[in-house]
Amino acid sequence: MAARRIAAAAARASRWMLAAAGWALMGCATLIVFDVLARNFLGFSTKSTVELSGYLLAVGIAWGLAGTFVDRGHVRVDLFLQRFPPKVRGYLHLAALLLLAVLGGFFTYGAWRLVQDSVAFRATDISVLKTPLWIPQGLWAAGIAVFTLIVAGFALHAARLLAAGRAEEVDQLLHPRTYTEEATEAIEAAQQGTTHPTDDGRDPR
Amino acid sequence: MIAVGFLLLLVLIALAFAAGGSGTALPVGQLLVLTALFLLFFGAGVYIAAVLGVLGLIAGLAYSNRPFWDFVGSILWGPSTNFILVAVPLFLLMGEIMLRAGLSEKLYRSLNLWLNRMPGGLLHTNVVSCGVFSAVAGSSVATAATMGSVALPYFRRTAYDPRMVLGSLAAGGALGNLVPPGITFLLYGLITETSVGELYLAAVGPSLLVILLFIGVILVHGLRHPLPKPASVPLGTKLVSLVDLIPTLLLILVVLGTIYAGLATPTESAALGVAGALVAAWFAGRLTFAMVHESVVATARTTAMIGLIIFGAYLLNYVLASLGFPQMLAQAIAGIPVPGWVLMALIIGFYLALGTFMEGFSMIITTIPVIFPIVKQLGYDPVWFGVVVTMLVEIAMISPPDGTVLYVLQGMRKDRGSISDIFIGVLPFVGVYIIAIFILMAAPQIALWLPQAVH
Repeated sequence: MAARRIAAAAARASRWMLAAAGWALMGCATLIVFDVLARNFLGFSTKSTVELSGYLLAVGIAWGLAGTFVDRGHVRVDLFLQRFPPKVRGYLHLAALLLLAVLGGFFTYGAWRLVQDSVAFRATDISVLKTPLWIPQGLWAAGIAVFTLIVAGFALHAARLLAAGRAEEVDQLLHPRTYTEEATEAIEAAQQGTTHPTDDGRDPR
Repeated sequence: MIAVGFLLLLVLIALAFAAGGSGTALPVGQLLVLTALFLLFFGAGVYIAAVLGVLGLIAGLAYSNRPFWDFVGSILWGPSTNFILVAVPLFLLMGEIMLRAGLSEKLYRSLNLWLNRMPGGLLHTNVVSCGVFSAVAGSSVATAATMGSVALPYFRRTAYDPRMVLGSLAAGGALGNLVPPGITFLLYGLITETSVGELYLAAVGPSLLVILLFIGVILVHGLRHPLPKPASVPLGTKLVSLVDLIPTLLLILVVLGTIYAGLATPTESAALGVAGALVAAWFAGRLTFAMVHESVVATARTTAMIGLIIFGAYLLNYVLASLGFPQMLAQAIAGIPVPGWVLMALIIGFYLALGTFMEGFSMIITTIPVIFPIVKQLGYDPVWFGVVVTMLVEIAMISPPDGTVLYVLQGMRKDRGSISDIFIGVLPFVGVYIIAIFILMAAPQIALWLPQAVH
């Protein structure tokens, strides 16, 4: 049961990080708007907006990776996948996870090396803030690392399920999002923004 | 499946020509291995980012003696902090807020007063309101979802052919990325180092062309299947109704006006657009914390999806470029003794086929690094090709059976009809969209005159 608790905690953490990534992007918009307005109407500029919004984008991408993975949001081509029997599909899911985990491991290693270099050389950006680069790079690397850990965890889980002959469960956990699922989300969002004046049946014209 | 067969054939032809048709020392064996691995991973449903990235790892370890793993951090950090790329999540965020802001209702009603007496009536309103909405939203799914939710109730208990209703809305959705500001242009500009401002200028002519062709399709349909015209509305009422367009027009002015006037970079105007969308939502009485939170989470998800593919693609491109593959391939293919337009037609066919089963953004990020050097070698204008590729992505979004936009509309129907209604209804629009690409091949000036006039 420990495995299930770990899985639940990982899913919660990744969704929390996804929300944080989203608000980082909103922060990015706020920062840029402030800079544009200040430059045009108040006659000054933060002179570090390009750098800071870049860091916010880096966090916005990296911290969202894990949550998007858990929500099955990373793109795969499912054209052939759906044609295989569930058992084969289970193994294909595992292969996809392992490759993603290998790549994630490589990314994490690269990101970590970058942070180490920035610390060693005391690298800062060229903005007026002279931000030590290890800070944004460290946050960014942490997002990639969490993503990799969660993918690896899913791979382990999938391997154990397959070993126990429960291929269908692997498929349920990982099948790519269908167009219908994506569509449903867009529709729900749109409908909360609309009132239907014609639902009473009168001719709108 | 026909599409897949066609793609395989194209890849084989390209490789055969590249191997035999030229004197350059193309590493055919290595290219064959990489292509085979790509097709295997791709078909097995591996995450696109992992297909690209792992291929990069394999190519780097097998064929390159440079310690490329020392650079992985900087390869990924570059795009992660790129100021142009910042515009992508911001335009996405703007679209997500607009989707929930309820501005589209008034837009639709107001345009309808002007258009509903043409043959084809309300159907024109579908296309034109989508076109206008596209100028504030950079995404096709957001455009189709927003306008679809507003438009469909208007058609209940009318004699309009449901196929045309759904087809015209899907077609309108496919304007979302083409009408500036679109996200596809940002990704293309990032990968090919083309000016996004110029791409946005070049998209104006083709956008109008596609809208006119759509209106043409509806006119023909309207003349063939005449419906009684609604009573004419006095001009005064029509003019008053224009007031409802003001918020949308203001937003267009803030976003596109600032880019075109050179007052703001696309990234800055995207940020202003987010602020404008929030103000618009506040005016419409829909600005709540929950609504904004949902918008930012949805934005973060799409951003991470695009970001991961960019990571994989950048790694692969770094390794391939260090091996000199894209340039060699471009030269080899350009050396094939057939006219350039034949190759361009094949490239367009390649995208149309790929688009039937691959998501639009990932299609761009995956293919442009390989295709773009070829196109440049053939002597085509990068800005022109950016517009053509965006149109191809839009066609991908509405080409049956795998267009997201089509499923959005299907999900909104209340009449429980079959999805084949949408598949059939959208076909004439897909047809004229493809015709628009060929018109653009024959007359590139439709895209290029505006950027040239501005300079």
